Amino acid sequence: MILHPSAGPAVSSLVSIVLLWVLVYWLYRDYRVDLFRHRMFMLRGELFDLAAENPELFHHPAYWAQRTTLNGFLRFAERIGFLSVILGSRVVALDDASVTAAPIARLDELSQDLPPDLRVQLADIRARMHYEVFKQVLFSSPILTATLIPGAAMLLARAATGRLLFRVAPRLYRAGMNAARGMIVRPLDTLAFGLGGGTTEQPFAGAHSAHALVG
Amino acid sequence: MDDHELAYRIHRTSAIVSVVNSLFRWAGLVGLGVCLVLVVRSLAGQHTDANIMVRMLGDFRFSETVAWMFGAGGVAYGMKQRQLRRSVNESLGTRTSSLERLIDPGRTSSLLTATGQTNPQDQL
Repeated sequence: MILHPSAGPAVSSLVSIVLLWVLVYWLYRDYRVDLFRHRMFMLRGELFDLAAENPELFHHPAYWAQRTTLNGFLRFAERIGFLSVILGSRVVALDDASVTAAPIARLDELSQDLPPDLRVQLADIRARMHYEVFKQVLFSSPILTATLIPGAAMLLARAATGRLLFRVAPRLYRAGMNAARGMIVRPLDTLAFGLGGGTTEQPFAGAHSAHALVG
Repeated sequence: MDDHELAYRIHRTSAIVSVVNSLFRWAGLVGLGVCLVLVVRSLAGQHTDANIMVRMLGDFRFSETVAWMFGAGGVAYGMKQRQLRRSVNESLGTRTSSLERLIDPGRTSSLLTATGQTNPQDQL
């Protein structure tokens, strides 16, 4: 049998690419979703422990807003990504009154009547939740991961060589955080809150668990 | 925008994201499959695809075989670990939720399955 000499390597390379595709878009993606859910469960457990120590929190809007949003992120974890940020931004325009449907954005306002230490702990849980969401958006997209991370690493390496970083960093950090809150966190919060079962009309109409669904 | 309109938009957006993500990854896989078929056909000449595969298998080197086995073994190991973790999730999660419900009868749920997977009703 006469066979082109490059047949073996060509077919073998293509099979490898197919397997890599499956690895990245199925196995790795499932792993990222499971990891994200695990971290959200940890935060929700922490929130529950906080409320167990302070039982008045169970009936407080701040607790309800935080828990409903966490439930929403748990529920639609597999849909969090760059695309949901883009489409979510279309649903939740920044000047739109609908952002009030995500009370988590008003956590500080909702928790005003709570003791200061509880307020701080709630804000801490919210901040860590947003950090995990941000990481999920970044790492669940192979394209973003492949382009942004090397780019950011290069920029950081360049900036670190000069003293400029130390002067600019605080302002840069604040600007970055503000942009991330507006562009990424806010639309996703609203999506999560809505999918978690929250509405502004029925503030305590969260999705109650069924016997077969215990998560 | 009222709550019903917002809820509609949220669920529509979520559905679009799900469909586009699925389309993208399946389209990539199908595209690569088509490439594979085209390569095999163009390189095979008059010979059948089966002959090429037989020849390729005959050409396999020991080191390559070990590498493939190592990769496949790693994937299998990961799958078994995932299965074990989900099983642990199921046993611990069920217990945790029932204990939490004793403290907070109005406990809300993420509506995931007992193993922590997406509720089949939420899948498109």
